[in-house]
Amino acid sequence: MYLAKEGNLKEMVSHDVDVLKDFQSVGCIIILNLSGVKTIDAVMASTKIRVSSFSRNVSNVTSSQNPGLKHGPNGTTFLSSGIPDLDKILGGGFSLGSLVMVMEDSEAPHHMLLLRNFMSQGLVLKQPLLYASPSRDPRGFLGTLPSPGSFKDDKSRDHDSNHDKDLRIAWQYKKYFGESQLNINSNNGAKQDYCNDFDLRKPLERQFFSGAHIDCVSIQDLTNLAPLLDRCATFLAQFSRNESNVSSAGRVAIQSFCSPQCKYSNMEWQMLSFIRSLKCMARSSNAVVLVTFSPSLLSPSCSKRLQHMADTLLSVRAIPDEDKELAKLLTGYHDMVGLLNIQKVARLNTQVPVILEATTFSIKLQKRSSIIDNLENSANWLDKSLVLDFKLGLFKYGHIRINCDGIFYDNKKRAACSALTVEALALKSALDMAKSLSLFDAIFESNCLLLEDAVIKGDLDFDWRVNNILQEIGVVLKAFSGGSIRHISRNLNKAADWLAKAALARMCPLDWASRPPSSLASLLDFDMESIKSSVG
Amino acid sequence: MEHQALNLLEEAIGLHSHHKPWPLSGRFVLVEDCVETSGAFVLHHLLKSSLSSHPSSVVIFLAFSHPFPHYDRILRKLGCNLAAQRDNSRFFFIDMLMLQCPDEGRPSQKGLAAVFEKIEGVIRTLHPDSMNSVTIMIDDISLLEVAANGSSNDVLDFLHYCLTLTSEYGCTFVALDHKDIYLNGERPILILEMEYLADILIKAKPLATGLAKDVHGQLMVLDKETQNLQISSPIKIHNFHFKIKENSIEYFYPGTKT
Repeated sequence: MYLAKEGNLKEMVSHDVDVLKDFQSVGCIIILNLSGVKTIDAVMASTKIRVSSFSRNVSNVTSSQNPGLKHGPNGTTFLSSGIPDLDKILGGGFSLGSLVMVMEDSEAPHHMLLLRNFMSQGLVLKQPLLYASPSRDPRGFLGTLPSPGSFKDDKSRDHDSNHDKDLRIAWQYKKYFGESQLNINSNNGAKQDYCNDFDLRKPLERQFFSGAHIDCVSIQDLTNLAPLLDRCATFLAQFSRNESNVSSAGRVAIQSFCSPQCKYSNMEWQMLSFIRSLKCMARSSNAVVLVTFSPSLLSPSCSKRLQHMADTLLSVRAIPDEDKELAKLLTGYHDMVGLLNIQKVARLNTQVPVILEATTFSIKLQKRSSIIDNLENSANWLDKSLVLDFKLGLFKYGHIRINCDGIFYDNKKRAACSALTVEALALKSALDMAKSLSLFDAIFESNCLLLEDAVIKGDLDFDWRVNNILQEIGVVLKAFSGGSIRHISRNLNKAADWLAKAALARMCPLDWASRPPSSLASLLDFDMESIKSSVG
Repeated sequence: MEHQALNLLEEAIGLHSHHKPWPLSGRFVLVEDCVETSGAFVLHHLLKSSLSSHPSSVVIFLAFSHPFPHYDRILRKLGCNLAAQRDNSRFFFIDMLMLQCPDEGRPSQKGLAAVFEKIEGVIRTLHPDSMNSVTIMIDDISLLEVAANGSSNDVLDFLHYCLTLTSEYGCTFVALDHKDIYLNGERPILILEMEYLADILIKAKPLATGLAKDVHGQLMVLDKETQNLQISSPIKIHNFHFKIKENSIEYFYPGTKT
């Protein structure tokens, strides 16, 4: 059911409000942090502790002057991204004067979620907005903006985990979640005004489109970017920076900047030059510029240049539909719609990089259920990466299991006439590898019963296609004192499989051996039992 | 400067030698970084140490990426007041944020040529004492390229002209560029030429194992020793890790962080 809804999400890009209504049965979109706890501590620390004696003392008095703004470190001012928990991850929100770039996934419209919330938040706070899009009628997109959730709900949600309609990032542990929420509230009483939760099911009410402060531009027919730059310049000129007082802030949202519909899209230097000028103008004004672009449409060097120009760099990625392997790896996989990667966090007026505990977060669609309960089972591993070359499972019992099924031999691409041949070749290469590593008491596992029988019995008339391979195996096998070959059914092999898959997806925790994630731990337990019984 | 006070970076780029008032004079230092790890802190570090090296030293700073208040705040935390130095005519901040060279129809040299004339003009008007300890800094070259509408030749011409100042007046030339832009083999001329010309290469990279709280990245410093032509010493390479703080940067060898 969720997956079907996820399909619908992809259609949301067609600016169809009716599709949005389909979400009624699903509820809300949630971003969750899979490695949560420490990040929240870090964020809290950065808002509470002054890093050096030079940073300005932050007072709450000024922040109450304008509810949409919040003081940050180093004399910066934050405005909200429209997603409360993304704000928390970024240390408070987007800094005024910064250029935020979102790298789109060409397969999925998740950047639209960020864009919609960013725009909605601005409109709710009556902050002027300039929106540019490659569609014919950019104003039509405003009809798809989400509406803020009810405020009462907002207030009580910190203590009550039964909320279900918000766009938010949920943390791993309930107790930390509660504490940190309280902290933020006590730090800044105006938090509710600074940032809202948005309900994607409800379109934004008409009262927020007073019209005067919304400027929409279609960039589809532009043959060069000068008119857009002029438009941005006049818009940003309203907010030119005056050190003493930040009275109002503006938002500029440019959707799919490099999309091929735009006639300028083959002029890379002009686009780079536009972004550079836009960044410079933003820097001297009290506004945040959010630009989404698709790196796949640009040359790699051009995309790198854009990434360098960005102050804050985010990227979104789709999670493939019904990927069973990934479903096993990720707790709550069915509720997820995509991944959010935070590649760079703005560091205006400072040279110290922002190091987040985790940089990959998942965007979730969640039905009415307690999110946090689900998350307690989820594991702290998404961020780190490690590539394992072979499926090697290390055990405390002094044996090394080498799992050699057909996949093991894949990367050499030799023509083979049957599955049996491949299995035999795989076993052979595993033996060679073990020999070269001096692993003389390894257990070789194959899921091909026929082959093992043949090897153990030394049956050389087993099958003409593998006979000579078996002979070679026999020779090599004599070197192995404590080694054995045994059959392993596919489901006994899950731990190694898990690791290999996680490593391939670059999602394997480095400390999986000492602190295995829960999903791996259960597999390991199971494997441990089986090896005890077989090795004795 | 006291010898004990030198950190690993300063040692690696040869600030410990006492041959000259400013050991880097006449040399070209190229700093390379990537999206994951910014090398801007090396510029800040060199900016501070060149201003404090000699009472009459002068820095000319070509800023393409940030406005003055950004550098002012950072350097103030490092213990160097740029605004005061600017008033004393020891720090010349040339704001290039909105520089846009004319399009290809007209000679696009014009924009950068004017910039060069400005730099040269600043040096000419200096007191003879400070003329020998001038540092020219560019932050950063990739944006200079964008300003020049992608014309690598114009950029290279400009950089060559700046380099002539190092031999003519004994200036130090420090530039930041982003290595990963050129890695896919598209138009690598610029970075290759720069790496060839540089006397000292400083590369900032992320840790191979990913992000860490205590270690922000690693630096590779390659000193070509181009000054001692008679001694054909091998090129020295220094590798170490760093952690960036507001008021200082810690440099340490891998694994020696306490």
